[in-house]
Amino acid sequence: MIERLITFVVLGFFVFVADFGGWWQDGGLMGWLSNFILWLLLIVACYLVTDKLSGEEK
Amino acid sequence: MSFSLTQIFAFSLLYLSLLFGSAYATERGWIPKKVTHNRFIRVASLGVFAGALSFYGTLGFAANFGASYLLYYFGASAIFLLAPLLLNPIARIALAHKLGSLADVFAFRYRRPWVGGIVSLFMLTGAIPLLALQIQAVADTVHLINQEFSRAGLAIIFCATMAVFAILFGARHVSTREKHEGLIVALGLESMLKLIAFMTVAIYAIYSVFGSVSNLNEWLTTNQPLQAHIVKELSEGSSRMMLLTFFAGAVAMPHMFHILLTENDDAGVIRSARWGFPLYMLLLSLCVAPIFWAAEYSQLTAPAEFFAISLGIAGNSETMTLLAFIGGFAACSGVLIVLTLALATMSVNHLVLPLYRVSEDRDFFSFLLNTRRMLIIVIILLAYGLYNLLSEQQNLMSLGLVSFVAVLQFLPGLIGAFYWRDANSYGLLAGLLAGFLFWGAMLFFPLLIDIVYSNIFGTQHQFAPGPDIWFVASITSLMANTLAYIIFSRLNLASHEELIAAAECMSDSPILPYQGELGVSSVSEIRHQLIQAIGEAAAFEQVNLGLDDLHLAESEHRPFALIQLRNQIESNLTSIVGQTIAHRIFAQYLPFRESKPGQVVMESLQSQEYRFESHQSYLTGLAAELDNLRRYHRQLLQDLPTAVCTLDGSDRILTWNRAMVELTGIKAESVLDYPFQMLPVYWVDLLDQFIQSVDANFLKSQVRTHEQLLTVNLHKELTDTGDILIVIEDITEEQTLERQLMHNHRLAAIGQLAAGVAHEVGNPITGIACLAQNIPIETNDPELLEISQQILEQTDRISAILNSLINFAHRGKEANSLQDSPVKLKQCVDEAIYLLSLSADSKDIQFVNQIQSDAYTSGDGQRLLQVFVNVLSNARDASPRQSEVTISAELIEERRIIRVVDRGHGIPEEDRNAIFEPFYTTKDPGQGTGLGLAIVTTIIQEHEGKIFAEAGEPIGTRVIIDLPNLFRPDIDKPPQRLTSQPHP
Repeated sequence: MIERLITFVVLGFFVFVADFGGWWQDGGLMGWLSNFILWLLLIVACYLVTDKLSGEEK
Repeated sequence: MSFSLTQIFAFSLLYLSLLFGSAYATERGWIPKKVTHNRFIRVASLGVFAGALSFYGTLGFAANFGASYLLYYFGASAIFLLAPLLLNPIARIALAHKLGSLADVFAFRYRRPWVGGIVSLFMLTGAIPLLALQIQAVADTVHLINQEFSRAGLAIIFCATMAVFAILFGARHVSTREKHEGLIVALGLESMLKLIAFMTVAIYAIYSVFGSVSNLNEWLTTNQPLQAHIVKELSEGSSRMMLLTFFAGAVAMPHMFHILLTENDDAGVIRSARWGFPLYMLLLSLCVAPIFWAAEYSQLTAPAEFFAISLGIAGNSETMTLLAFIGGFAACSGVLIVLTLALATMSVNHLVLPLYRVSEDRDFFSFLLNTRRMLIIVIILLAYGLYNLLSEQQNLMSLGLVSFVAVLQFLPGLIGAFYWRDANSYGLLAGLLAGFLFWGAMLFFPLLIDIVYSNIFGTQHQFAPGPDIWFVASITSLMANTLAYIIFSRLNLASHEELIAAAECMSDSPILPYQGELGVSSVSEIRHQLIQAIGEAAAFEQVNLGLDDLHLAESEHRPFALIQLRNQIESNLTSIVGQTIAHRIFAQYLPFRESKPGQVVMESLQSQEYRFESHQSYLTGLAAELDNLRRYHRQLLQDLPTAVCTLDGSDRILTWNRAMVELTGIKAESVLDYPFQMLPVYWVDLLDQFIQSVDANFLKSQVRTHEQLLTVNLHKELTDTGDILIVIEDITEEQTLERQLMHNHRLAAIGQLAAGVAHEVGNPITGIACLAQNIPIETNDPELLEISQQILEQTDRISAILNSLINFAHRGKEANSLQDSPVKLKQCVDEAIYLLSLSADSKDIQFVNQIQSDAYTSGDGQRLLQVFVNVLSNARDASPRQSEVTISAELIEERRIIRVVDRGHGIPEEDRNAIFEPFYTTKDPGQGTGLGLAIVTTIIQEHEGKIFAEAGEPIGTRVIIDLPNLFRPDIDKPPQRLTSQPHP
């Protein structure tokens, strides 16, 4: 499930890549930081998936 | 603010000492393994991807295209975030087959000798601009802080130092086992240093330039400086292409592949990199905007690419300037070293070795190592040459994109390798040619022409492709590549080898193709063949390494073991010389040949067993489930209580289950794949006779092993594959029991017969006795009276014998009526002694009852009394006059062990069991019936006990009676059944 969500979000980013620049232009510092929130969530999701895999392997 | 050249060299030297020192300390083992093998260090070393483009190029990109600089960082991260789609399959194949470069992956999948060469050539061409830009970035940075020394001079010093490091720590040895640990640790350190430097400069930008975060925010809100760049925002298409380009670059760039897969054999690192590398890139990308804003705020005039170092210069901060310089220096040096190493290895394996054959008498590995070192120098010189021709103001991102678009051309072939079964080498070749044609025409050749033109005519460089040109070039080349790849793959059929490789690439698990028989029959023959290909020293080294890996002996000659050894050596050699050369060597010198159809399947099964075991961790999904099912059935066969083995058409043993091991005492690993004729001769004789026989079953065959005589049933079945399945039943125990049963039946028949005879004889005997009793009434003749008395004595004796017989025959019927109550053993024995003392024969024998007064058992006191009377009377009869019979009891594990020891002549060992059987006696004829101890045995068995005899020490006999103990501490009075007073 998480794996599919990660794929979906990254592919979504590829499709709507141009729209992400808007945050940078409009929102000042918070707008700039908001670029990274989704990215950070993806990293956390990947960590959870790999951590689970490592646990299963052990 | 300016630094002297001495200062710059001193700091550079300090950094390089740190780099060299950490690598050297790792190589020498001074740093603990838990540090050098730490996954954090390994993942951090992937930060080598972030070279000059990351430290300098993205700042220039942000200045021109605003937030689009994030595409560089996120694009590279995306390949890791989507690892299951492409990165994991590549890693799985690369680790399983020890593929050391992307060219190896292509050569493995597309299975043509020229594939690796073409890929290496294009990769080398495409990567040189990226190397040149690292040199340029370092030279420009140094020149920015000190204008005394020429850029060319700085660049050549930088190149020479990097070449030395690459040779010392990246091309130190040629080994399949040892990775370049020092290089990895140094790169991990370099990545962390560069991140710390970049973050420190960003923090400096926020707190020193703006004063605080709120000031920065206020400035951003009020000035909206980036609005100025909106007009230059990348188009949607350009953004997507940019994302795709860096996505491909992060996996296809040789330096990334080198660190991720060549220098790593731990799949766990790849898992950790899935989140670790994106996190690293995120942290780096966070720093770009603050530095850029601070530079905008400070209205710096320096090129945007060098804002990081310019901030320190503008703020007169020596620390910041130095930190930015070291960070940039680390970024550039990392890429230069690893990319050069990877390209050199790829070039040796796919460009040099296919064209140049090393003679037998030459050390193959030394040649390999020296050529690799030489190529490192050549590649750095090429990069330096290109740098030397470049303009001072050459746009770093433009130059970098030339390389990244070149690497992008490998993406269709790479995706097709793992997702399109029919993709083939023709499609790959057509695609690469088309893609590189457009890349060359639109990006590379304009760059070269511009360089040549500007150098000849002394004009300014004009080559700086804008986003539109770059987008058109990348999309056109990629489209042409993809179309040609699809069309030519469709027009041509994939070869058999390509289909097998495709199946393996597309499968979760390794494919085990049929390999056939090996044309050699010993380890020395393998070595001899290899000597012709790689020389004596290398052949010896590789064969010994393979033997060690597989724990095989030099004397090994089993076909399957030799196939394993051959494949192991090929795998080891692949990691050194690449897939193409290793495959070519083994196909030429140690090829497989077709074998008989019947043999193929089992040979392949043996191979599969081995490979499944070694690749188990790679199996997922359906493959893993099937493997579990296979293991279940295999385990079932292994755990069968019946011995099973199979032989192939050449009499080789293919399976040997656990019951077979137990039956024969021969381990499976010592017989598998050997002809059955190597078994001990007694098994060979039997099996040979059985295999030759037309009978499918041999019943009750006997095998005399070294330890025992076995009785076995053999069954055989010819399988569809021509193998013989042999099932061996060990019936030795059943045979013993059967014999015992027959003996018991015989005894039972005798008993019944005896009871019948006793009954029939009893009546006339009674009549005779009655008549004899009447004689004294009829006559006073002393002679007749004497005869009458003798008749009565003899009839009494006959009656006693008959009563014993009837009593014995009726014992089994009485078992159910056994009374169960506590029996005090000491009293029981005392009573038996008293009864025996009434007989004149007991006068000279002293019975010593040592049984404790608290020893109880459970049972029928009267019958146990009968037991002791019998046993003691036997002891008395066997004992010499004036001797002693000792009775003692001991409690052992809830059992009462009663010992009756006499000092008689003893019982021969062969008679010790027989004395407990009916009608067996060692007494003189007429002295015993042979029923006493048989009755005793029956009584003891009815009490769930045992009786047996041992030799006494030093003489005599010891009869052991083993009865269940009754622990009754509450009983302190004698049992009700035995209330008689103790007898003297």
